[in-house]
Amino acid sequence: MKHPCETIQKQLADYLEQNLEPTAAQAVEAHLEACEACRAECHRLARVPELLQHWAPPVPTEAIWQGVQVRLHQKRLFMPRKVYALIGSAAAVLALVAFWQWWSRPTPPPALTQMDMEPFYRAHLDWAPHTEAVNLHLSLSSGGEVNDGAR
Amino acid sequence: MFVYGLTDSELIARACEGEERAFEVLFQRYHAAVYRLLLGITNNHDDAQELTQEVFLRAYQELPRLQNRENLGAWLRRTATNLAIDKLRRNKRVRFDSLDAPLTTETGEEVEWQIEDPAGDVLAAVQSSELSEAVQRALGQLSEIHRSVVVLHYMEGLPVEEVAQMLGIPVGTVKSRLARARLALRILLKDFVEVEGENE
Ligand SMILES: [Zn+2]
Repeated sequence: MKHPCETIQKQLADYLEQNLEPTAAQAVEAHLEACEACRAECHRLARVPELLQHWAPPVPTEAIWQGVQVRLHQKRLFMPRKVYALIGSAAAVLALVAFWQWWSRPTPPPALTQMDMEPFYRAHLDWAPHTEAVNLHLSLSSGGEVNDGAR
Repeated sequence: MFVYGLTDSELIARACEGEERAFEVLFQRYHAAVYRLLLGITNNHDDAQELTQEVFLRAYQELPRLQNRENLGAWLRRTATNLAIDKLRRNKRVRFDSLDAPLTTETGEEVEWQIEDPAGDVLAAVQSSELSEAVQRALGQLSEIHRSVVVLHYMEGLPVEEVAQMLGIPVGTVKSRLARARLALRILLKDFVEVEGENE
């Protein structure tokens, strides 16, 4: 027959995790009241979580931070958002200037057409025969350009 | 520039404005805890380092959307835990919902469960170590499924219900694994478990 302490000690961890049925837990407690050895073992098991708190592994802080920085910069996430805002407003200003320049561009004078030249041509024809003016050949090209036809 | 005295939410606000220094202070506040959690679960320094970077990378992107700015610590822990668990699932095909396998060491030997003092053989390496190193070695002896519950419950202080939810297993399973892990750790840390003023 197994020693009762052996049975109890196998249940101690579950007892501490409150993972026993109420009757089993009561049996363990009754035994602990009476048995110093099992009580001592229970205290040792109870210390385990506390011991774990003493774990302080060395932390490679610099290496980790550098990695974070590099990856943030790679993703262009680390450019300060102020800089983004600045770039954004600069782009907006440039766009405005460009639009204004396009919008207020000087309009070229309308090309002269034959209709426009007609009065001058007639005036010349009326006036030239009474003077010694050279015969000015005014011709209107298809593009409406005025050529000085004097030879 | 005065940043060290600022609260988390003040630092977050500044980091959102693009103040790198503010984000660095947040990093300084939390990175060690994040790293420890990740190292605890993965038991691998390279993984822990890479995942810590990933956690803070995500944090920087999420800062503007963070609901409760005074709860950055909890957000970091949750993100770190999820990343670590994903990593284990991907790397080693760990199934947290698998039936409790016997506790094994990394070489596949089963950890003895006897409560009797194992007379030093298995633990020779641990005996002369400082407690912190001993804890690290002991954690390394546990399987992933046991280490995860130990780190999340004992070290991070998450309630068993939350651990169960995170790992997708019943609360009873969490408790059973905690109990088995505690027994193993008690053996592995036998030089440190004696309560002062008490003799065997
Ligand atoms: Zn006893």
